[in-house]
Amino acid sequence: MYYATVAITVGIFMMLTMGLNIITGYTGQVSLGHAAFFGIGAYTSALLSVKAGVPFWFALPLAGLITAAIGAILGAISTRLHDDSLAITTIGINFVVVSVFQYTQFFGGALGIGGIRYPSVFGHTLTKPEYLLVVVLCILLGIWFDRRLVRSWLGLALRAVGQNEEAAQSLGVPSARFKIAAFAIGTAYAGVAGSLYAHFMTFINARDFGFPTSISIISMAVFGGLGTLRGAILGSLALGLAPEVFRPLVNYRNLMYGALLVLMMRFQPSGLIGDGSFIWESRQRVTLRLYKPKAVSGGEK
Amino acid sequence: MLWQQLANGATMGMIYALITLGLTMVYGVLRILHISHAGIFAFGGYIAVAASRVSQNLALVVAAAMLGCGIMGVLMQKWLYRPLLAESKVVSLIASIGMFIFMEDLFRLMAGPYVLPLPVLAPLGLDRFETAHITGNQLVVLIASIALLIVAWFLINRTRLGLAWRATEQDFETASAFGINIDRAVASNFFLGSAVAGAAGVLVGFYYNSVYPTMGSVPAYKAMAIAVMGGLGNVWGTVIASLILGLVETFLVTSPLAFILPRDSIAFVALILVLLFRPHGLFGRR
Amino acid sequence: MAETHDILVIEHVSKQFYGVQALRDVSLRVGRAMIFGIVGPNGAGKTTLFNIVSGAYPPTSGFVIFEGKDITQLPAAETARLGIARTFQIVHSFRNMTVLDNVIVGCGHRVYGKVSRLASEYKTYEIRGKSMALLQMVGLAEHADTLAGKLPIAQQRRMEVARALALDPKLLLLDEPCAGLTYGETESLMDLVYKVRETGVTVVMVEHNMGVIMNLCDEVAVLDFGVKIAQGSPHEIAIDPRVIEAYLGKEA
Repeated sequence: MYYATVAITVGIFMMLTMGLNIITGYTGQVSLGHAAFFGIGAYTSALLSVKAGVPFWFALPLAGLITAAIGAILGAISTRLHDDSLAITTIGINFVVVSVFQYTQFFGGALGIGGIRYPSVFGHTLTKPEYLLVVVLCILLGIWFDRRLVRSWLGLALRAVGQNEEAAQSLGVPSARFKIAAFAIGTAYAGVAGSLYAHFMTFINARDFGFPTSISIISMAVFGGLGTLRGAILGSLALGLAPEVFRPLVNYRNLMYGALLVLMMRFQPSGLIGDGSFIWESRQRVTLRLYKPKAVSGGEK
Repeated sequence: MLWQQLANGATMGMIYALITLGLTMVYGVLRILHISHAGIFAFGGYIAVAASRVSQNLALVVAAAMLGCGIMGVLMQKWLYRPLLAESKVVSLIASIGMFIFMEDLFRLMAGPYVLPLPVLAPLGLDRFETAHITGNQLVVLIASIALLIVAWFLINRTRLGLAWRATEQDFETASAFGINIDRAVASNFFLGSAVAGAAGVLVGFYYNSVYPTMGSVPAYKAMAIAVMGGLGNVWGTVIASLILGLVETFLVTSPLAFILPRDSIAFVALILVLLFRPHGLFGRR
Repeated sequence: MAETHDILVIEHVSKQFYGVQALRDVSLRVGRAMIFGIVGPNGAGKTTLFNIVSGAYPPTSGFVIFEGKDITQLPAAETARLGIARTFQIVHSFRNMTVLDNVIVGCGHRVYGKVSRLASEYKTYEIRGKSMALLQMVGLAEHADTLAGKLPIAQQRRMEVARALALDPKLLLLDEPCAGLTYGETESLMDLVYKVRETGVTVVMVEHNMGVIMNLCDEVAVLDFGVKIAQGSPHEIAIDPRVIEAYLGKEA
């Protein structure tokens, strides 16, 4: 049970990180407020479930869609801003969204929302390992979508905007529209993650979606290797499991977390397995060595 | 009542200005978001606590904190930021956030998680000079921060050092073509910015008579909001935005609107409103 | 007659940046399928003019007319789709994409406006073939799978030309294409510009290298402090007293 709980939590963060990787990694829009969308997804799903009696299986995709719509609106605002102002504005969005949840009766105020139903299939309430399976399925869907995106014109345009907006525009890419698309897609992931979280915890509070959570998400993306799916997956695994691994050293947890981020950025700025990181480059050197000799000897003949 | 509110608001505004000044100076020169600036601010508070065991004179304590924080800032720039300048901006941002988390926890582990008092006295007995409109502590904070801002203004606008910073702001290549020692310009910029943040840490500790590990948390992000509102890299815009925010916060919190807008999110609501109409901040150029 | 002949007409264009007058009442006409040079000392407003034509920002006043259509207020993405391609003075490559993908971004100009096609795969047989042909033309075919950021600057410049040509442009703006290139590299870039013109594309280039301008251009305009001071064939320009003064005044 303990392992299932840890795995579900890590899985939810993996969804969040994959979404942020689309916004910040591919499209280059630094968002320090991703947890706000996590919260919007969670509150949407919780309200649908508690107030309207919508079953989990419908609330989950709805939470993704509604969060994406709100994400698109905030994305539209963000197209007016440039990199550093954008990063700070997203912090602001995070603070404002949390205060709205915290100070509005409709959202349960400071108490949050409780009594969210655990999902069930034909009257059978899911067990934790079964819920984990749902999370894993969502992740697999997310991975499939990401791969599909990267191979599409949309994904190509997003990466072009992320790596050099001016050049992308000069090649006919209307960058503002694509940034909005990136925000919509990335926040949809967060919305789904939020729904998964709300129905797993059955009780949510605005504090769960504060700025520190946003920092955790972006740290995971950067730690693994920003701009790569494998980095998002590995980063969320590594930093998601770190608190569990370091449990005996619980008093030094933040100290080590901070040190880990600093050292990683200082010595491996491309992340653990991002493009250009030590591990990834070595892996590619090995592959080259395995394939090259044949080609060379063929040429000599 | 109105005068008291004004005094409260102005005091907060000047403290925000001191914290944000260093942030915006650093941004002007290196274009990085220096979140761990707030760690340096808290470090100033702790240096003051340590120094107050030796001397109870606020001026001396401030000087000690400024020196310590200035050195800390330079070390951080040389070890952490300089190697990361060529990388994407997220990298230095995450490094800075990591450093901030590290520092906060280090303070907690070394000095304990509790609130420490800062028993210092202002020179000339200024803190006992009290009227119905303004408390002695407020007067001290106002005078000290205005004095620091004037010194900073003088350094930035009237010295060769300031000229070097402004040239570096334009761009590194041109600046070095004009024979400016970029390394020294950036280091001195960090020294001054961090020293001012350290002074702010002491003044905040003195004003509330409390120093604690997470005292940098809220100012860290609020200062970012102020810096963007004032136009990143624009020193005077920063000071004006800080004063406006200090006053608006003080008046809004005691108004009927307070229940919708908790104090610490006012800055961000204001930020979003400002950026909707002026994407480069109130006083930003470009 | 002149109206249909000129592909690009710039009329009374001025641009101010926060009190700095970057361009003052500049008018130009560029004829179809010519190689048109723009020269002038640093800070004369050449790149500003390019940015206005390509739509990076609008002018403070004046008009830009491309193929008889007013494009003054159009953003860069729109002018690109109408057929204005450009390269940049400082290379603007998509560093973490392969050279091939860099070129393919340019091939997508007809796709980006159509939501229905955005989801389809970009690396089709046809698109790959077109992009490889362009890379062949600029001599980078064997680097197609290299990350763009790992190429030396000279090759990234060639890649930018290939990428711009992927737009099937009618007008190609080259911003100092020879900056930082060796003599040999410059020669081969000049050959490339000739080849491009042969395909019917009009080329406007900003260039410092007078040798390149003299050899390559059919017509040259000279800017100095945001004002057009002369226009004519390269040989007329070379003996124009105002031009000599602008250049020598700068040197001295």
